[in-house]
Amino acid sequence: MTPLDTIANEVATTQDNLLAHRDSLPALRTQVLRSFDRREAKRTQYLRRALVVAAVFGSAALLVTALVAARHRARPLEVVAVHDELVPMSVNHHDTPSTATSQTPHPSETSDLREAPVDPARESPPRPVRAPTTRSVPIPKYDSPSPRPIDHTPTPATNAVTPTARLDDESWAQLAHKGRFNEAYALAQRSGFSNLCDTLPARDLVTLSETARWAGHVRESRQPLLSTRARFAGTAEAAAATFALGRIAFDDSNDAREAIEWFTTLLREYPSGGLSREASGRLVEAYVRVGDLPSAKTHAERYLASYPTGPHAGLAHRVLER
Amino acid sequence: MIDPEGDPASGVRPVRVVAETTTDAGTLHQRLLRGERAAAAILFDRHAPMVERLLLRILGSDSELDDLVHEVFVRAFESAHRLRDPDAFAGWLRRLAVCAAMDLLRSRRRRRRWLWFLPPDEMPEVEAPGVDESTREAVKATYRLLDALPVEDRVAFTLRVLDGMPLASVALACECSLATAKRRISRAEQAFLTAARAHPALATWVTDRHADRHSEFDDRGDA
Repeated sequence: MTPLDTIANEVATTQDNLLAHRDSLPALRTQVLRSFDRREAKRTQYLRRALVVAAVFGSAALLVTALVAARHRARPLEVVAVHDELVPMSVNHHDTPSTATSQTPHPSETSDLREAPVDPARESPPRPVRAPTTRSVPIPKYDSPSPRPIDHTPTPATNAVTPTARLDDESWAQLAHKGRFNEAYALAQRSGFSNLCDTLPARDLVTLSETARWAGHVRESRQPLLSTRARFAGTAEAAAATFALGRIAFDDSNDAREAIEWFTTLLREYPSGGLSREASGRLVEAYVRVGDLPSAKTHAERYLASYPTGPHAGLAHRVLER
Repeated sequence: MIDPEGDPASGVRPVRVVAETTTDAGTLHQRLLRGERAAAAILFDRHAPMVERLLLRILGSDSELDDLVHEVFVRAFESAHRLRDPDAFAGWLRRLAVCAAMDLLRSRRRRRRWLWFLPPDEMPEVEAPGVDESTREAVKATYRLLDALPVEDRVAFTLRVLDGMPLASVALACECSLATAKRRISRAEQAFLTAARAHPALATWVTDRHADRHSEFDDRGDA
């Protein structure tokens, strides 16, 4: 055994002897457990506070979300309109704050049309169409020159409507004008929706489409528009119907590819019409939404070349910067 | 064994420990994490003697020994959620004890450095019954000499030489590599022996026959 071992043994023996006679552990145990209790009490208190805070913040977040969702649902489709007596069709114009007053038989009703945010990256699910709180606003005047002559004279189909049919039409149309779209749509269905599509004049077809749309029947709302395109090809109503088809695909059906087809058709058939600017901007949006950036850039360049200060100019610049 | 009923006089809620020795570490750990006081009591009963002995070895007879034991267990219960392997509770507790002891020694050293004009802390008397005066003096002198060593070297030395802990455990407790632990022990051993030869209370223990001895831990079979 080395001297160090000897010292170690002596120290260890002495300390073991000391430990054997120490009686401080019971008191220590009490102290330790008391500390443990305090710590647990504190922890429970913190947990309770955290739960209360989480509940408060969670409730607030839910409330805000519900309010935002309610506001989003209650807001009619962002519409800016320019009145046209021939085609009472509402049209989206992004980033164009304005107020339009209806010159229809309800002059007291006005639509406050505000700027609609453009967020092409947002992939919103199909949004249920709700009845607007005010009447839908007529579409922009379609007065630009077009490669195809637009005939504003009443078509033979308009004149072909019988007086009886006219009376029925007035009844659903009156309901629609009063904002009772569900009833108006039901009445139109009873009158024969397809028959109406085949017989109504262009202006009423747009009203019928709007009625179906606000009543929540997005798919059915396309039929009068398709009928307008087929029956009144080359007219301003057909151009507006084409745009409306694209808008329904874009906004309501969330089908950007179909929207691209309609907007492209509109620009091909009516390249310098009053809806070209909006269709061009929407086309950029739609290409961004489907993730086709090269096409989006191409159309963004075209848009900026034609409308450098247009409502979609900001979006076009952002697309080109990508 | 400590009475598991607690100390009614102190106002602390009595704890009934059922089958204390049979409760496995994993279950105890889970119960501790759930905040069960009985689990804390069982763990204290199981490991407090080891912690107390370990701290006594490192620090010697010290007035802050009880406080340190208390601190070690409070730390352990507070950070029990960090322990991944409940079976390693004892080793983890040992490491906590070593850390607490090192912190105390370092803070004392800092205090001595900055408050050098105050009288040094006196080692408390070793009050072990049945121990003769010369042995008491030798023990006191041992810790006085250990006070002069670097904290890391001192702790490694006391764990290895005084407590007889295996080298691997020393390295684990000191949170260093095996080589570092060996180096620290060797360095402390040489410094301690040199100082002990010059100390009157230890001179008789460290005679010339020690002059050509080899490093202690090399002969223990686990180096």
